[in-house]
Amino acid sequence: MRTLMHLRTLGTVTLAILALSVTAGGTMAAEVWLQAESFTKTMPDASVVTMWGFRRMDTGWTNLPGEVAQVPGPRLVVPPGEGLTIHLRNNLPVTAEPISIVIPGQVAAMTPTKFGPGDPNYPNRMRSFTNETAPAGSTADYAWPSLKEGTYLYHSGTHPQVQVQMGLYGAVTKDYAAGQAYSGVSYTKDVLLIYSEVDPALHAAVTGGTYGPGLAVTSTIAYEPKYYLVNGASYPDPTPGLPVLATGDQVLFRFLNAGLETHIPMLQGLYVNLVAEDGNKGLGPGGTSAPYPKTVYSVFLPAGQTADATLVQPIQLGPCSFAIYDRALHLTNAATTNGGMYTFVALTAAGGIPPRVDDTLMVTKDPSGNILLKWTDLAGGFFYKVYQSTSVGPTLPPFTNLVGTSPSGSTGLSAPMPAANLVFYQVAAVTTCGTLAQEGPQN
Amino acid sequence: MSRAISKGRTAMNRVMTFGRSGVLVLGALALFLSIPASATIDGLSGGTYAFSAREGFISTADGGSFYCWGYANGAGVMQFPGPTLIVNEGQVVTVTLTNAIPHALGTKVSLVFPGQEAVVATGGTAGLLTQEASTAGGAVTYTFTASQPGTYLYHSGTSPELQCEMGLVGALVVRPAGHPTWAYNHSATAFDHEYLFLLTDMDPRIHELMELNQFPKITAPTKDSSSWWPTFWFINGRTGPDTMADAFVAWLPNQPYNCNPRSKPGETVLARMLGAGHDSHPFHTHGANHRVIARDGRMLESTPGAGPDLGWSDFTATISPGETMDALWSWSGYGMGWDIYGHQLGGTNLPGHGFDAHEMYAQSTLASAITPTDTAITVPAGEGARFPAAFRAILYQAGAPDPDTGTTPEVVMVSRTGADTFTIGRGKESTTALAWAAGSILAYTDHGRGLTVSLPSQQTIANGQFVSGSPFLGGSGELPPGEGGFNINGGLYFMWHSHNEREIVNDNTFPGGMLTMFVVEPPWVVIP
Amino acid sequence: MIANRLGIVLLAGILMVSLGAWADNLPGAKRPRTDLYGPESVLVQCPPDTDGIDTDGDGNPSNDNVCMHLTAGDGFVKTADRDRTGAIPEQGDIYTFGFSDVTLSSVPDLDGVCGAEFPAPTLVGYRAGAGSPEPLREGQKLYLTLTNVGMVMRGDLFDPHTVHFHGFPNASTIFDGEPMASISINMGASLTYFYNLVEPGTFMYHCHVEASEHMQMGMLGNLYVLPKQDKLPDGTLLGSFTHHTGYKYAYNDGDGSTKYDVDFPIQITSFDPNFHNADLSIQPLNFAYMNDTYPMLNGRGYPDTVLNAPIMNNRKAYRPELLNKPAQKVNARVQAAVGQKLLLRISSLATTDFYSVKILGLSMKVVGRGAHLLRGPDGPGGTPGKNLYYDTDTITLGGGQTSEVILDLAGVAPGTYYFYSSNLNHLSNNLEDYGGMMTEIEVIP
Repeated sequence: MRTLMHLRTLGTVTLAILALSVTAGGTMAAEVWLQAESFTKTMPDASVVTMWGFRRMDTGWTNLPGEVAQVPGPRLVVPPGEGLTIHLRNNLPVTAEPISIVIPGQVAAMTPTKFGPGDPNYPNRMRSFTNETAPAGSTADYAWPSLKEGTYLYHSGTHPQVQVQMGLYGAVTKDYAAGQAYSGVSYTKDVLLIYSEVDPALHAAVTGGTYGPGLAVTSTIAYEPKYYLVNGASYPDPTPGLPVLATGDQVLFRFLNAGLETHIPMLQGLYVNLVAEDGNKGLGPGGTSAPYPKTVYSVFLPAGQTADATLVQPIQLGPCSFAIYDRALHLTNAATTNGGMYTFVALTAAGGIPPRVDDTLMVTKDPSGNILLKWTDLAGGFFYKVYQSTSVGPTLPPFTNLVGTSPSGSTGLSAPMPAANLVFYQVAAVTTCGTLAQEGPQN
Repeated sequence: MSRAISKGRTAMNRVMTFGRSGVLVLGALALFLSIPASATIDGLSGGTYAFSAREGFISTADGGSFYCWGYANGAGVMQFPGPTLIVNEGQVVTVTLTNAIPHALGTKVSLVFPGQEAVVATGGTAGLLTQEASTAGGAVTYTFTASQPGTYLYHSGTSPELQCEMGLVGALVVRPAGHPTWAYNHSATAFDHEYLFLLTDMDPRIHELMELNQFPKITAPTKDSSSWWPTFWFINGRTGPDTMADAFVAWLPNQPYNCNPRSKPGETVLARMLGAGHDSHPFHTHGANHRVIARDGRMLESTPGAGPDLGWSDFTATISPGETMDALWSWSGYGMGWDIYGHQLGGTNLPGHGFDAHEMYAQSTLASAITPTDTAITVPAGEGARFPAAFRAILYQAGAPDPDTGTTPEVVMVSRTGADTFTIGRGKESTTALAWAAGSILAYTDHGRGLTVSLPSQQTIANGQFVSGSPFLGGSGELPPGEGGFNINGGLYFMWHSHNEREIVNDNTFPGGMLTMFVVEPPWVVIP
Repeated sequence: MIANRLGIVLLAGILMVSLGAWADNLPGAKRPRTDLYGPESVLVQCPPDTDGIDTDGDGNPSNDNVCMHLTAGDGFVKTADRDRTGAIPEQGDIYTFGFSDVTLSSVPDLDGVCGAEFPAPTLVGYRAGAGSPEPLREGQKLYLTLTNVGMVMRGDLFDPHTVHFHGFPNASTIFDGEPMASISINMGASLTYFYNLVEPGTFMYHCHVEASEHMQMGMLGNLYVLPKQDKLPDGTLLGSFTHHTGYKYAYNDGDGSTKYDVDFPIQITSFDPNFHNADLSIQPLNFAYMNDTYPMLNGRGYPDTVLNAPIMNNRKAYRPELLNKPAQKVNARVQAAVGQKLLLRISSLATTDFYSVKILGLSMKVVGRGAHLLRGPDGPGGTPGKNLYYDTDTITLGGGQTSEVILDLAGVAPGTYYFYSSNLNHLSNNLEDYGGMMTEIEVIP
């Protein structure tokens, strides 16, 4: 049996490239063994919540060193061209709760499981979207022989109103080809962000045995989350699983909402092109022609939806970090501010010390009577900002009067003729995150 | 109040009541050329601003008064929302922020500008998202170049879940260079009127607890941002129906902006919608669909220069927090099956009308251009796109006998033959069939077509306060005492509101909340 | 807006102008009065089509007028946590306001009393000579008469009612039904709306009087209009697509891209039981804390969404002189065959929230929203706009929004697929688990 390779482990999220294995029918399919377990999680405000989560196991259900039950579950990365088989084992401590796995957005035959006609509480009602993995250590297999490429959630399809918010969810991604998430959508690094919530009272009822018909809590209708997670963590805990971006990276954001409420990831200072929704690329007939991505800075992400987006401006200059936060304002840990759904994505410096805007800044007068400033684009900055100052004195004049902004690659700016006789100009490169990279020389 | 662009209309006569800049250029009708759009978004131009974060109180239309925070313009009073900044594309925007909020949870405030790239903040202390200004002193200067036209939001980047709730939000409008009556750099985004719809929601308990310095409250009944529960909803900082009062009224000193959108048939309205609160809102435009042209300050364009060709048509827009959406809306009364003006052949005409004030915008502009002997007309290149693809219209020729005198008028039928070309046919309208018959052409006209039902008697109906007493645009009629009275021009009032109907209340009082009335005024009304 | 005068409560002894047999309610039976305003209690206006012009494209110039007669009043329905054993008949009773279809009734005002249905009857077109009503079609002229029969459980209320045809293009205010800007009809009287159906699509309708109350109480229904493209002659070329008689489309797409075989309207609504109980027991209405805990599709929570039979209410317990009525006639159970194209006309008239819905195992292509084809604006000279259809797995609607999705069932395995809310806590009937906003799409071989 082949073992699975670990790519790397960051925080509590494991990325896995699933090894090939040949199924009985001869098709290529990635395989993973997931075990559902209960575990405890400590929130940044020190409260402890009991969660359910998936833990990756080795073949034969032996433990894999370093693997624990986690929320979200391990990210499954299915190689291009392959299907997926999930072997599932139910180690939940709750005796009467079967589980299952579904991947919304994948066309798949469903064999729902219902309560029997004699069930005293919910006769004939659907309990699972698909076939179940019985409680107390039973196992079952779930297969997607041809998995559509894209970004998807996998989650329990049993008693979903309870089990998903308990933590039985994760991300599964498959690319169209190496380095292409979809046809024509290339990337070098992806930033995968799963948004979810925790209602601690509901967790306590479910794990404490007070949830169920005739008990203290009989349904999930009064769901009221207090904690808000990105990749299983709430600020100030850092968002796990993020790559560090570098100049030249083509970044793909994969947003997933495993929660029950809408979230609005908003990027600060950056625009993205939305290229796919629920694993479907673009607009236009059949989704295969030239997509019409929407250029946005806020991503409307309702419950259960995924979205893929590429940065409009390429990564060019660091070091810095930019923020992505939930503009639906789930930014607390219960009552504590500066919590919840903040994510900071880091950029390294551009290949060492960033080159300066060199001494070729020239100031001339253009035919229309305006000042024309020209410089050589050496910094590769996100933007250039041009400042002016008229102060003269023994100390360096303060450059605070912003004359204008010039996009990266352009080497000039036209500005109105200033009134003063003696004016100083300074050109500064700005990072992808909007901060000043360094100051150029004055002229 | 300051206006971003100068008002002014050239003298209007009846023929040009549907004027729209640049529609037809036909010699003597040069008056069509330069009718500027009305500026009805109040705000501050200039580009350099001094904001002071202050505390104050706002009023809700049920008589409530709530402790809030807002960005004040310089030494002015706190206002909710903050001042709308109106700048031009390429303009440098500098906002210097100081903090005058003494509250323990407001000792640091800041500004973030979603959608603005390369915003540089200097001064103050570093917060999670940007530099923050302290009540203890010091200012933070935020600078950026408004390099792209559009509608944008700004708000506090410090504990936004609380500070946006308290009111530290506002709008930024960037006009395309050289085209103050366009939304973006394309003529297809031209508008006659523009209005702001900044949508927010409020949990009054948070404000009460903040005023008492008891927020968050961890003893029962608890309240913190995770248990947020709104019971007030606002458009441009006011609850309905205060939305329809004038801007800058003395009795709403901290809520200067209003939402009183108006247009005339055939005119294009730009709705700049922003989600500035916690929740998404389904904003419904009664009367007609709108067409979305941009989202988050980016025109929905397939390729540069194509214009908003990716915009979709909808009747209820999802405005979600942080998002901005621009949409164009127009009402023409086309295809109603009866004459909205109440013209009836042989019946009483309504004052101020002639054929030129017909509900068909296109008909009025074409009508004034057609001479008595034309058999075809070509409009300037590209203008043909303003008319529906399969355009046919019935007009009454200029100078023809007034229909009210009872003489059978000659009618003119205009049909599209190409992108910018139309043929003109003439004939007589049959007064019994109310159908155009000239040669073998049969068409359907609403002009002169009466209501096809009888309306119930006044004893059996309730009239709203915006009812004129007549079903016709520009009409009026007798009303029982106490009913109607708020419709002086006989306009059509369409409610624009959140369609999550819980949100059109003020706490426990209906109606109110996220609600205003859009007025389609009769053609002779001048809209400032 | 409550009228500031007393209305006349409708009971058996009402003064009414009844039109008697059902044929009188249909075209040709009654001519409209010539004065603009006139007093009637139950007056159905349904004029004959004499203009000699075939506007709906079916070749017949005198059948374009269609009619319907609704009453507006109160009633009772059952929530899905009702008792199913017969032991507790009042369990699940909930008081509502609503509409009822009385077009074929000989005593429409009496049938309407305490007769509200939920959802409100889908607007359809009745015509003399047609055996049963048909879906509304583009080009028809709809005469919709609304008779306000009063709220019999609330003798203190004299609310007028209206019909708001949500999304009607270029609406006039007189027929828009928004009470602040229009007329609404008092108890014991009738108002006939006229709609020239110039645009096809999926709309919805509801009462707009005291909207926060009347809509929460259930005056909500489905409404859709079929396009004229359905009636094109056999063999008409639509671009590279050939139309044949019997083909059906969501819109006049001009290229056959919205062709479907089976369509089904699904309306998202939800109830706050505390609000309904307060209305029944003459308590102040708590708008501020309106909190919907019964999420529904077509007026039912799971498993009633997949129950074929109409659901009988229990109104006899509250009005002993009345028999129980099947007040919930519509379910949300969808059935289609492998290889077919299934069109779902999804709308929401929920009053408190956005809801997201998904279909597990099937893929959706969104082809319309806001009763318009999802297409960019037409270009100069009338060239068709950009195709904006997109594939998704999640539809999110707030109140007043619609979306048409087409599911292509070619190559799909037969079986039961679930259409459900991904706001998973709404898979509840209030305090009852395994319920709420879920239904089945049964794909048969």
